[in-house]
Amino acid sequence: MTALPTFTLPELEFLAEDSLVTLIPTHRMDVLHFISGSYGPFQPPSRIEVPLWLARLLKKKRRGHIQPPAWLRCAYLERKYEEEQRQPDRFSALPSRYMEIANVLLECAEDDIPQSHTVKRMLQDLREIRQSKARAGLGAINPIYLQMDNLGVVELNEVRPVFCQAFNQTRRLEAGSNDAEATATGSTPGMYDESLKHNQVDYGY
Amino acid sequence: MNSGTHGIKLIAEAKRTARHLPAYNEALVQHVLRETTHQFSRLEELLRTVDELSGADPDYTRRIAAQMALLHANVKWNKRCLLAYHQQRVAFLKQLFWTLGCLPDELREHLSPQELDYFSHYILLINQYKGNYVDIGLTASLIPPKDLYIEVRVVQECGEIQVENGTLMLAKNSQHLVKRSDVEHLIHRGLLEHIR
Amino acid sequence: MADHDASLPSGMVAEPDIDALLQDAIDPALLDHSDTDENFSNEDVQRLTTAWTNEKQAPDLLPFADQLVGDLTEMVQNQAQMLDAIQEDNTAQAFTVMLYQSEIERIKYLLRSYLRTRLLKIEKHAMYYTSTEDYISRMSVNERNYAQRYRSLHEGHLRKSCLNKLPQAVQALDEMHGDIPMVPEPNLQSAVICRVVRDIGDFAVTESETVEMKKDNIFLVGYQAIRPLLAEGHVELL
Repeated sequence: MTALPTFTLPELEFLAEDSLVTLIPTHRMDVLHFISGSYGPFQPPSRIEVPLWLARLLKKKRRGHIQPPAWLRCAYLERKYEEEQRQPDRFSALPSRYMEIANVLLECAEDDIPQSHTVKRMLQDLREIRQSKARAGLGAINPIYLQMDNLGVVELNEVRPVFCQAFNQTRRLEAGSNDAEATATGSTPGMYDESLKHNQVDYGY
Repeated sequence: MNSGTHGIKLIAEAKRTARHLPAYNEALVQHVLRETTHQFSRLEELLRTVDELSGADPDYTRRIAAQMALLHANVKWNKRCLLAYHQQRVAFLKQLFWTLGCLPDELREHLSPQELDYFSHYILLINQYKGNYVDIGLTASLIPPKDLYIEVRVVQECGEIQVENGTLMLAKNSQHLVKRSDVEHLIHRGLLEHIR
Repeated sequence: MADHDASLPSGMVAEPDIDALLQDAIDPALLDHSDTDENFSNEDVQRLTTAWTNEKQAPDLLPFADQLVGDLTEMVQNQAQMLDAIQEDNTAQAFTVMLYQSEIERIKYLLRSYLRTRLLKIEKHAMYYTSTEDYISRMSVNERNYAQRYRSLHEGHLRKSCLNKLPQAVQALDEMHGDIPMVPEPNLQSAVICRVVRDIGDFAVTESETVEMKKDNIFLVGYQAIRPLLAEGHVELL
């Protein structure tokens, strides 16, 4: 059988680096005319929205600071965590690439993020509670569709191999016999936990 | 009849090929080919006798039919094993091309003449396609670019290499800040180590 | 996003009004892709990015993004030529050149990965794609050439290595093994994960089952069911 296509973490970060973030430039610079669009002029200390890849380069060369997105603050993350606890059957809304963006920002601009240590810990907590919810969601797999609103792209990518495999299997079983559903739900969760170990993405905040 | 066992050996070898490339097993391939040819002629012989069976003992007829079915299944099975074995090996060769860009000398002797031929033709094929997109660097790394310049340590002596703005001396154990695109192929081949 | 007191010592970021920021943050779409800047922006890169992710996740070959690949290749060439003309005689210029080059590398990577994802898919089902009208039309001229040549290389190899040495009657490459065709076909029934790009309303995912699809909903669903939506750009694969 063919392997299921997934994205690598660097690929997901590459995609996330197109997201816009707010930069506070410390040096003057004229408008930059990129292929994907133009940004600038950079006039310290006026804030400016630029793609994350550009912000990362400017930050690295000490040409500015990155203003962390509103969702990357302790108070906000705490609220989200409480929301996750209150709603066991759904995920709270976060930017779909929150994990990758947070990772890039914590790597290149940790000093711009207030209480970065707490932020890291809270992201980890949030990630864990969402992960266990996602796992529980496998029980709902059926051969027709499964709605997975608000899951982040990294999270989807993690559950993809197991969920898609389970989906394809229930579909095959359904096509084969009518009492297939019972068999499928009875046998998949164990397998799920096993394979998740191997698909775990290491995002050690 | 123990036919099919050699086919399984081919599959076992093909499976090992996922990690490294064992020497082409000419003897085993020939054996399976001979076995298949032999089984097929047995099958043909039996087929020719079918007409004579019309008035024969039903038990005998059934035995012949079962034998034919078995031979037929064996022939098909062996063919699948042969195809799987050869496909798995060229899949490895293709992957080798995309990761290393060349055939390491120590592997050369593991290939059959046809496989050597396949490899060189595959390179031609890619180069031809690549020629339509010269600016993209089709065979360059598929790791997303993060930094234009990276720091590398020289693991194996490389001597002087061509870079975009001239040449660069890469002596063993030295460290350099270089343009990623200039040294990517050397990192791939393990001659350089990407530090940060 | 609100602008705050600008006169800050460098290295310090003012604690902004959390409530205002939280208001902004409620709608993730707003943060995710806010195209609010008045500057010029070119959607081609974004379009190719989507084509690339769709291609990576779709079980079969999608129509080639001919125009996009052509246009972006040309833009990369022009930008590179423009950079060659700039004299890096001061550090400021060297710095901006580095920034431009970084973007060029990103786009080149995107093009490269897109083309190679397709080559990989073409190789996997070369025999099927080169003999199916619909898929032939999904390939670029270069890909069609490639697929044909690859197919004859591959089949030639199998013939020379083993098939030719088998009895004539079993030499064929396209027979069936029970229910399984020996020419592998992409499995259109397999599961994909998609995000709804715009409100669609009720959509039939099977003959008997409809589901309401609203913008930003995410579904795990059989590829076949959402194929028409993907072709129209109403959903994207994640």
